[in-house]
Amino acid sequence: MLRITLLRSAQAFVMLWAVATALFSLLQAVPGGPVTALTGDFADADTVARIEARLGLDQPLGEQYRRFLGLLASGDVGHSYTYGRPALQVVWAHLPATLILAVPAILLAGLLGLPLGIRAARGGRLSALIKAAALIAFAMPVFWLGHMLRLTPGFGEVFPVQGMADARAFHEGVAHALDVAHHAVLPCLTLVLHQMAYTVLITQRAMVWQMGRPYIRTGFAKGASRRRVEWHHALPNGAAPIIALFGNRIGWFLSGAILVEVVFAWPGLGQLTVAAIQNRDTPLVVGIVLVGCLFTMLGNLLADLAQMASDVRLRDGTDTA
Amino acid sequence: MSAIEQRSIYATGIFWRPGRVLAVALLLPVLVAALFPEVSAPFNPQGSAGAALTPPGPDHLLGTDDLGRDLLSMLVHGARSAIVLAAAAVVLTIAVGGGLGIVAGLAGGLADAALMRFAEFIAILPRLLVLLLLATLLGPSLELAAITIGLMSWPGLARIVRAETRALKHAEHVLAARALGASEWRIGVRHVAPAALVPAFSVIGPIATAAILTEAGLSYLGLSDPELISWGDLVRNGQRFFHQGWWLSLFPGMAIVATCLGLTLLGLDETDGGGPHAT
Repeated sequence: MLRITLLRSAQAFVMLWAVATALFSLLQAVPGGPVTALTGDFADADTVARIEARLGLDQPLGEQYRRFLGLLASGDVGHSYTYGRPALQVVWAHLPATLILAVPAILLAGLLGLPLGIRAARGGRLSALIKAAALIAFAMPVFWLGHMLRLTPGFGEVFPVQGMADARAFHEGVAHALDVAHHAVLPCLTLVLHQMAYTVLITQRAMVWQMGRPYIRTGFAKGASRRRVEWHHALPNGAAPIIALFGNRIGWFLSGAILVEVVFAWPGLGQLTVAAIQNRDTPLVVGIVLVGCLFTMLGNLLADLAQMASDVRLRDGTDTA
Repeated sequence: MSAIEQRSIYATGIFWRPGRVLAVALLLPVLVAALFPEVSAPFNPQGSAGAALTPPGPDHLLGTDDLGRDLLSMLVHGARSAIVLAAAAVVLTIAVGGGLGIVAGLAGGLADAALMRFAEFIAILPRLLVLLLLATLLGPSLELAAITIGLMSWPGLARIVRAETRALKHAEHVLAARALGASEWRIGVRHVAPAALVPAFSVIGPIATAAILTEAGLSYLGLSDPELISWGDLVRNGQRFFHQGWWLSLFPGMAIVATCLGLTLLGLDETDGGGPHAT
């Protein structure tokens, strides 16, 4: 387990290097080269000179590449034009707000989606209903789902639809936390529904397959209750694909979080992204994308390890099928 | 094959399942709109067709936007972008994912391991963010979105095709072909591909759905093709006016949901429980 953990972590580093290399090639490939890519067509001579010096554009390509990797490794992706600060600093500053939404949402989606998915695998009217609801939610663009929740009579009046805290009242301590939680209800609910649809569908799929296998019949023959067979026999066996698909979905979930923030004017990465696009603040966009990739890989690594913890067959690293 | 198994697929009910019927009912209008926008759109989608912010009514079935453009006409033209995008993503996925899957499965060894690591890498990259970066650096366009999404959608299929190929590698008809002296290339194309590519049908729905939703998200962030109409961009614009015109954000969203639901239902095999595949 330790060996495979180290191996997987090393692979994550290789992937980060691949992302950095792809970014370097991309900046070179933009017509006009890295300076035009990072500044657009209207940069003043000062800015151009600064970027040329920083990226070492008068050096051979190999040296430029080494310098670029060095800059990224030290966490330097350039200055944000709109904030006048290192772009990564700006991104880190906006990250907590996104995590406040995303972490509870992904946990809740798992906690609610799993039992619903298991229930949906039993068959019958209720199962069909759960599946239909999940399929519809799965087909919805998450930003539109959030927008519709906001317009649903009742919701928009009871819960705040914009921002992270009440701008007219200054709460402190517990009152502030409650205020933020109150503001988080609708965006969080949107994200939960979005992620839950997928969780329900993959759980249901995995469970239908497991419940049709002979060891389940043995479980019932022993006199185990349906609940026990589902949770203690079928679920652990079906867990690996569920976790794997959940892990593959993390990038998708993060994108969803960004879109939902825009709907509800939540001051996290999503708002920052839209502002960066509108202001043509390319270094900031680069920073956001890199941090997004970093978190996706981290999440994926965790899902990988969880998958191995749940399935003995994967632990020695030989079974890759 | 026995006589019973040879019954027509119509008789066995593969087509006449409620999910399939609903899928066709949802997708047919979108296809008609995409193929014949001049016929199905009552107005020019780019030009003013009446008073601004007219609610849905007899003149404008779905109302008009803040510039007096007819919403139904814009949705019809938006369908074209969505279909082109979905088709490109599916074709690229099958070409790249199917091709690499067969190569990896047949080659085995180091090439196989390298290709599968590469597939893993592509699979976990957050698509919307990559697209966001490319659109910022190269300028937003539908071609860019379609190609990028297509080139990022294939790993799931590659993994399935590779597994099929590995199973087929030692099948008797492949051994027979090898004994007859067929080249690896011929074995791959003539003897393995037809069977190994069957799972491609099951990923069409999920791939197309993900492509449309990703592009909608990109447009919602303000990076839609400036020359074309995108449903995601219509939702974005509609939200700015949702106090004055609820229809502007409601209908474009419904168009996306209908299309994606139709595509998902089309690919659902109800016997295996149904649900999205690993994409």
